[in-house]
Amino acid sequence: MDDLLNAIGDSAIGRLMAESPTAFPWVESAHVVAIVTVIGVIAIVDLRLLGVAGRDYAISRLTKALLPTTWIAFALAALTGALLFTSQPVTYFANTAFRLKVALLLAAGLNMALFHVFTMRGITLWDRDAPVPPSARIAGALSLLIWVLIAGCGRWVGFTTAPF
Amino acid sequence: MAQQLLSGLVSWIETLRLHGTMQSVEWAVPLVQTIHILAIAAVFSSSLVLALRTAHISGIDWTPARWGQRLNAWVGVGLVVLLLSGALLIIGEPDRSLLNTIFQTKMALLLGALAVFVLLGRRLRRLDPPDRATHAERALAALLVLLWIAIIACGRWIAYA
Repeated sequence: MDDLLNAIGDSAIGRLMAESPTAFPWVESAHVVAIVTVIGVIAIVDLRLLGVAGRDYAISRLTKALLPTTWIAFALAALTGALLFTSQPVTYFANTAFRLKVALLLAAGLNMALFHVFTMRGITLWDRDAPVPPSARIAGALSLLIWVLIAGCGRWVGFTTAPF
Repeated sequence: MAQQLLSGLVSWIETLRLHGTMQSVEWAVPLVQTIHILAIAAVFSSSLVLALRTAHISGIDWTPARWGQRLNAWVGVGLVVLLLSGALLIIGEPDRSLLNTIFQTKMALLLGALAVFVLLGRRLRRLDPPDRATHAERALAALLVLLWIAIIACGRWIAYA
């Protein structure tokens, strides 16, 4: 594993990210734009699932409307995150907050997959202007919590691995 | 003159007990930064969704005005949290923020974004027909998103200036 991490750090991209005075801040800025988009747009759906806001917008239509934006932003967040990782792969890989962030990302993905595969099956009964079942509310609450923690871990990674 | 005033403000903030707390409690700055980022998530994603609806790209089940109505409170709360958490970050590190050109640029852009947001909201409420935005509203919505992107970038660059 160490060999792989060192190879990433020694690659042309890894060196550029570590040595250029502007590459890291620019990529980090794009990472923040992408991640706040993912968190904020997903929160609009989560709040709808919790029945807090927008109850007259059909959940199936809302998720369909916001999914492309979420995926594009997520792809940008993953790409920029990977670039940031190449600047000091050994340090990041050993960082507890980084590991927790990756685990939380997997948990968010699992929560979303379970919601789409199982919970959304009976959506016609509660798609619009109807009480949302507990399983969907739990999915929304979990999603909100996980993404808040992901933001916290992201900031903690920056705080513990760089002097900024 | 302005620089002298700001330097005086920095010196005064550094005498505050809250400044000492922000400096000495290890988790205070990252915690407040996280809250700041979550508030940005609320404000930026709301602006983006509104812009996408104004451009007739997504969320067309609601009119732009209905989206504005849904997201206004979200943006309002987000802005208040941004202001409070931003003030705490300034109190924690006043010399790094107040005297920083990028921070000053960020504040100017923020005023611009607020003006565009208010103007766009007013225009969206008066749309006729209500589901179709004109080129002017589309341009304002796109400008709002660009201003927020610039504000976010400035926020990150403050750390490197």
